[in-house]
This record gives sequence, C-alpha cells and structure tokens, in this order.
Amino acid sequence: MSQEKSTMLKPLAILLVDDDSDWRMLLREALLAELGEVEVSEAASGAEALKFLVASGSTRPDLICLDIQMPGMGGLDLLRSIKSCRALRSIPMVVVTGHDDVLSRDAAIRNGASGYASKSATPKDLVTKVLGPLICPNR
Amino acid sequence: MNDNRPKNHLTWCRRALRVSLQLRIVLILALLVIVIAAAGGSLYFGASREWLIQSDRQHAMGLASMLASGLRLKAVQQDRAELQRLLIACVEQEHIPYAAVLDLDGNVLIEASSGHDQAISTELKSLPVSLTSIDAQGQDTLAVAQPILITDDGERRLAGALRLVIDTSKSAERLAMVQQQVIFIASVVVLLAVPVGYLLVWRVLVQRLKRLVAVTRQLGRGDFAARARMKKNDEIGELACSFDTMAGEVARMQDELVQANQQLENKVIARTTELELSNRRIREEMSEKEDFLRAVSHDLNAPLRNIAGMATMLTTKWGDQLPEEVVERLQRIQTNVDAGESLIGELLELSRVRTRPEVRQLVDMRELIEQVGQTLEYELKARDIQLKIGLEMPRLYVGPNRLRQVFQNLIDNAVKYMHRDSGGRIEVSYRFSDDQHVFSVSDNGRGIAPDKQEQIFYVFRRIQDAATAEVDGKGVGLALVKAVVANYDGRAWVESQVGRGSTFYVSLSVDATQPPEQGADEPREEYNVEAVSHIAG
Repeated sequence: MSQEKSTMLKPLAILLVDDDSDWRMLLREALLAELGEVEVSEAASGAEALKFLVASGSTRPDLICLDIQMPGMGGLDLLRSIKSCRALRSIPMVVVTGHDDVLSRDAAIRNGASGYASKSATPKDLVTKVLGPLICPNR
Repeated sequence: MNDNRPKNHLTWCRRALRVSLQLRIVLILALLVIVIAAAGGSLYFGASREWLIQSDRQHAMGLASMLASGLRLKAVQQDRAELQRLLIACVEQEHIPYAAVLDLDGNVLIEASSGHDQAISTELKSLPVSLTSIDAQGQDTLAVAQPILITDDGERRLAGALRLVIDTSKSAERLAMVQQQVIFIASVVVLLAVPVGYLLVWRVLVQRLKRLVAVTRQLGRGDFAARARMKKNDEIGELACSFDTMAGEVARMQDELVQANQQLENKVIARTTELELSNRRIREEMSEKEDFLRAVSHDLNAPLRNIAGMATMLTTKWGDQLPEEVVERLQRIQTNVDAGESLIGELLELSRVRTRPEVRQLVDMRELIEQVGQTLEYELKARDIQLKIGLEMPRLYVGPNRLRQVFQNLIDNAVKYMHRDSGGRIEVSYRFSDDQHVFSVSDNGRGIAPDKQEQIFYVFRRIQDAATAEVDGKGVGLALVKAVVANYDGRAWVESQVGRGSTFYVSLSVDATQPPEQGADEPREEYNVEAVSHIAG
C-alpha cells in the first residue's frame, strides 16, 4: 500500500507542528512508511508554522497536524489564526495531543479543528486510522 | 352534637357565676348590711314593743291611781252622781273605753263605757279586789285594777276598787306606723347605698386592679415599657409598685437578650465569612493541584512515548536486519515503557480521587459488582476461579466509576494472588454493622503474612517474594481502594492467613452514601473549567 504512486498532480504535503522533535521524527517516519510519497514539512512552534505557511505561497499543505501544548503560540491560537485567514482556512487541521479529555477535545473542535487524536495511540495507528483517511479518503 | 349541650349548659352556668369582683364585694356588703339591719331592726322592734307595753301599763297605772285618789273623796261621801260624772268624763277619752268602781265585795257600783263589747267586763271580773294594783293584758286592751283607799281615823282602809280598761290598739298602731317608716327609710338608704358602694369599691379597689390587669396584659403582649405607676399607699399600690419593678427587670433582661443575640449573629457572620474564605482557598488549592497533576502527567508521558516509538520504529524498519537479541531488547524497552505509562496513569488516577469528585447517583451495588465480574470473566474462566456475589446488597448514593475500580482492583488482586491451578473461589458479600456498609472480597488464595498486611495498602508496596515476582501489577491498586473509600468516610483492611486465603474488607459510612434531601444544596461536582483552558490554551 505504501509504495504506490499517488495519482494526484502533486505529492501530498503535510505540515507537522510540534515542539517535540523526536515525536515529529516518529510521525514523519510513520507517514512515509504508510502513505508513500508525501512531502512532510515540520515546524517547532506556532510562529514557525505561520511563517512557513505564509512563505509556502501557492503550495499550501493538504493537511496540518498540530499539538496543543507548545511554547509561545499554542495550538488553539494557531488554529484560530489559520481559521481567520481566508487563504488558509480551508486546510484541514488535526490536533494530535498528549491531553486526552473531553474538554480539550471540545476546545479544539470549537476553534476549528477537523479532527482530534491522542498521542497515546502509536504513530502508525494515527496515520492509518486518522490522518490517512482524512487526507486520502479513497485509500 | 348532643353531648356538647350539657357541657355548654355547664359553662354557661359557670360563666354566669363568674361575676366581677366589684359586684361580689358590693353584694357581700349589701348582704351584711341587710342582715345586720334586719337583726338589729327586729331586736329594736321587739324591744320597742315591750317598752310600749310597759309604758302603756305604767301610764294606765298612773292614771288609775290618780283617778282612784281623785275618787276617794267622793267615795267617802257616797256621792254616786259625782262618781258617775267623773267616770263618764274618763271614758270620754278616746283611749279609755271603760271605767268602773267596785265595792269591797267586787260588785260594780258605778260603771261607764264608750260602747265596747262585754269581753272587757269578763276580764275585769277576773281581777280580784285587793290593796295592790293589778293589770291584765288583753288583745288590744289593758285592764287595770286600782284599790280605792280611804284614811279612816288614821288608818288606811280599802273602800273599793277602780277598774279601767285602756285601749292599747291605737298606740300599737302608731308604733307599727313608725316601724314601717323606719323600714322604708332604711330600704331607701340601702338602695341608695348600693350604687354609692359600687362606686366606692370601684374607686378604691377595682379601678386600680383593672388598670393593673391592663398593664399586665400590655407587658404580656411585648410592650416592655408598660408600667402601672400608682401611689404606694396600700396593698394594691404595693402590688403595682412591685409590678413596675418586675417589668423593669423584664425589660432589662429583654435588652440583654437582644444584645446577646446580636453578638451571636455577628459571631456567626464572622465565622461564616471565615469558613467561606477557607472553603474558597481549599477549592483553589484543589484546582491548582489538579492543574499540576495534568501538567506532570502530560510531560512525564511525552518522553516515554518517544522511547516506545523509537524502539518500535527500529524493529519495524530494520527488524529483519538486526540480530534477534537486539530485537528482543527493543521489545523489552517497549514493555517497560508500557509499564511506566500505566503506572503514571494509575498514579494520576489515585491523585484525582480526592480532587476530582465523581458525580454521584443511586447505584445498585450488586449490579455494579456483577458488571466487574463480567469484565473479568475471561480471566476467571481461564484460571478456573469461581466468583460468587452475595444477594442482599444495598443501593447507595455513590460515584459508580470509582467504586467499580475498587471492586475491580480487589477482585483482580484475588485472581492474581490465587496461586492455584484449579478450585479457586472468590466470594463478594455484604453486611451492615455499626452505621457502616461493609463489603468483603474473600478468596482461598495464598494468604498474606501478618507483617505485610498493613503495608500492602501503601503505594508501590507489594509483597516482595519469589512467588509474586511473576505477578504483574504495579502496587497502586490497593492504595486507590483506600483513597476511594476514604471519600465515603470508610476504611479498607484485610484479614488473612498464609495458606488459607484472604478477606479484604471495605466499609462505607451510611451518612456519606445517603442521597441528598430534597432541595438541599448539592456539592459542586463539576470539574474546574478554568483550570482546563489555562493548560489547554
């Protein structure tokens, strides 16, 4: 499954936003392993993420995967900022976080997240069960 | 209805007899006066009648003797015509109806009468002729006999007798009239005296008493300024005075009471404020602790996740290129990380038992324990352990999830430490004793040595020996049980004998498991929302 060439015009682009570099690496590995040709970009904070998005110009990522608890601009603020920007608000955003309770979930959804997942799942499960279906519904 | 009427009749009588003091006094006085007057009056009347009779007699005697001495001369002279004339002149007087002169033998010589009946002469005839004057009392008459004495040669000699009849009826009539007048006047006086007496009694006695009664009522209604204010010159005045003193005392005590009450209220307000402050502080501390725990668990779990993830990634990507030993070690890394993560999770739960109170509801304990049994069904079957749950169990107002955890931990422990291949038995039962709901989980496992029985309830303390080395489990379970039942003012303890099995007991107090009263304030059970957004944002 993971080695098939995608039929899309350009390879899938995913932006990972998390201050934990080890976790980013694990998620990147899982994405590459499960989804094949994907372009994975990383940002270590909300500010970096916004900078990247602005600089990316016309090549917007197809999915943004973000954590809630980050230094500086936190995940919820990032969600709000992106949703308030007309050019960016159409990008689906999934919150992947160590917090796993109803209130955090509600807050994320309220601020515009399309999905919410807990880090207690393995990176592989996250990709196959959550991120994959969101980004490639036909897979 | 019929049996009410005699009672009403009685109360009416009683009410009619309950006359006022005033009337009673006046009636008593009037009665006294009348009795005295009547007694005195009748005495007086009797005495006056006696006196009248005496007076009449004396008068008659005097008259007779005067007449007799006047007739003496004429008798001596034997001048009958003169005697006759004298007698006639006598009877012409209204009160002398009959006069007669008798001779020595008692024969009537001359008589004159103003026309009364012969009864008079019968009386007279019975009177003897003697030297002494005699009288005889008749109905309306008085008959008097007087000797006529003449002096003959210096000797007094009886010449005859004079008989007179006095009509006493007139004087009796007059007396009667006077008596009637007296009675009339006395009655009028008494009649006039009644209202006067009434008024006097009122002024002297009843008016002030009534005023005193009114003031007493006033005081009774709560007017502590009510005073009688009377001059203290007699018993009623003294009563009024001491009443005023008493009223003053009552007013003073009332003031003291009001003051003390006010002080008490102030104290209560102060205490309540203190309590509210300390309550708020406790709540703040709890939410701070909750925030801390969440942050800690989040940050502790992050590196563990990464460790596990890295190890997995290694085995996934290069598993077929790595030696078996390396892969095995990597898997062990994974296992250890799992253990660490679940331990952190259990510790977090344990800490939350106090800070995150569960929403309570009425729970059927038997149902709850049966549910736990069902979740452990596979384990029980696999190890051939029979689970028996007591039939009589109460319905308690508790948090179901935590209590489910309690029984899960206890039964799970019993399963883990059964240490027999077959014939294992776990029994969950209930009894009520001493205001406590007591549940017990007993097994026929390996038992616990006495010196270990207390420490197993502490976190991480499991029984460290060869046999338990193979048992997984982190040693937090019993600590959680203890913490949960502490929320219900209960205890957890164990009775055990090595080789014979163990019985774990948990007690929940009756008061802490009662549903709340209707309308009573429910404790706030919701999680602190502000704390969440502070972390999540």
